[in-house]
Amino acid sequence: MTVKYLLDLYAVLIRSSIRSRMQYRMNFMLGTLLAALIQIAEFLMIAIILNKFGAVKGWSLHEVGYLFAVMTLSKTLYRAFANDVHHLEKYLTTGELDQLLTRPVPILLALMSQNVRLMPAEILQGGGRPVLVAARLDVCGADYMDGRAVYPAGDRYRRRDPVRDRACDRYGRLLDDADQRAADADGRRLANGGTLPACAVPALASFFPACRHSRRFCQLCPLLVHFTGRIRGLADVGHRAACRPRIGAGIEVLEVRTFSLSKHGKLGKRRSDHGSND
Amino acid sequence: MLYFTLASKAYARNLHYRGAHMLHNVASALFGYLYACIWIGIGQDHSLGEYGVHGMVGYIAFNQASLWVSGFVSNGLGIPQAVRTGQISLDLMRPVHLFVMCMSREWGQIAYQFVYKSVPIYLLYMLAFKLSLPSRPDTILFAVVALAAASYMSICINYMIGATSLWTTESSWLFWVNHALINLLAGFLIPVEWLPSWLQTVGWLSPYPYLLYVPTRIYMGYEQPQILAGSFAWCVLLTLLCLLVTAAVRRKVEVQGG
Repeated sequence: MTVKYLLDLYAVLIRSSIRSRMQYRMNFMLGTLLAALIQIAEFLMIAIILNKFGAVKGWSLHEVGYLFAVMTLSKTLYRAFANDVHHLEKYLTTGELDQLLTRPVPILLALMSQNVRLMPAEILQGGGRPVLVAARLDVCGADYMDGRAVYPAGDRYRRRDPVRDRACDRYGRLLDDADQRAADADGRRLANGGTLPACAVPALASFFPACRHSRRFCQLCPLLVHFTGRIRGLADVGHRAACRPRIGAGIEVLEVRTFSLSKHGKLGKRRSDHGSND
Repeated sequence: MLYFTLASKAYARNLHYRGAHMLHNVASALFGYLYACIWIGIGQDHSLGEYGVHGMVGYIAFNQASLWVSGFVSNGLGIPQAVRTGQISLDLMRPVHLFVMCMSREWGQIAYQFVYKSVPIYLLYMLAFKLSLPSRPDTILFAVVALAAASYMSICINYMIGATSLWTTESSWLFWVNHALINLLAGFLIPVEWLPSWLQTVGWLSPYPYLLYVPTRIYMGYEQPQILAGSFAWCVLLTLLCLLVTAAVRRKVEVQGG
């Protein structure tokens, strides 16, 4: 029994499992809607606490939201593709395990192909929330509040995740390069750092640690920053602040730049402010 | 007598799995400990109102133990499974009211969960968090009455969830929505008075605060027994709804297997 044979068999079994589930379309749609409600209610529970009390041991609402989403996504993937491994007890007590044991496939494969279900509500919320959260929280862990980047309390993030920290340094340097190139090209600086798609890239990348060290991936970041900076700049009304932390040798330096939008939709620099923040 | 036999059989069936359930208790106690840790963490920087840190730990501990009698009721009282296997047609033919039969079975289950889950978990918390029992015995009595009413309300809610499976083919999602609403509106993790005002309004218009928040507040001595009037009113209302639902179920029998 080769690995290819088993994988092919698994593909056939999960296809038939999904097909049998999709016979009940109304049930699928209702289930998706209610699953989304459950997710919202569960997150609301912790969000209300954090909203009322600010933070739990330094963990802000956005950080917890990010963590919650990653947990949701990993749990969803496991529940979607290995749901019945979780319910082994049911098979034992009802005697159904004996039937599975007589099948000419490994027992784990047999269980994994039972009741495979698509869980769009959970996948969308688990995968989508980091993107939303990333609009306020960049990969360095800076929390964007009211247009100013607040980089809280020194070395906390460094201790928490050295891998992310290295990626953060690299990302920061790339942002600098992108800025410089943009400035050279058209004589003005672009809004970056706080834009949603630009931040979404490193946020999504954190799911795949290997990406953070990939040269090609890191080359993609400044491009995205460049384009999204323009799009956001044109879409915004009035003026907006773009801010991001720059990490020096153990010192967090906050750079806040404010841009205004002319009536022709071009960005202009209004104020530049440098300061340290802890 | 028949109803008592149904309850005692459900109790006896669970006794076979006592060992496994003790392991469940460890997991459940750990979950409660995690929730308590959230409040211990918050309590380092904030005063936690009338509760204080120790009070909030006691609040979570009592809620986690109570969950086994007022929250973890069988999914749809077993009706969805009966619809799937066709057993529901036989159940409806019996000379016993479907609601009362399902309720009796569930009371046996709840009695088992109270003895073998709620009590051991709370005893564990009493030792771990140095919690003490209320000084007045009538407080415990009123808390037990509030918990019994909460169990009954939960049975009614789950009966209605189970009955929907005759129309929707599956009601497990409603069961989980109910569970999520218990977590949010019943004051499981956050006391109801700390919810945003709009959510408090929604909560008090539903029976959810009477499932956990009211019994816990009575147990902690923050509420007078008069609040039980709300629990009883919801019990009556939910009973009427269950009787209406049963009448509808009798006209709409659907089996998916058999």
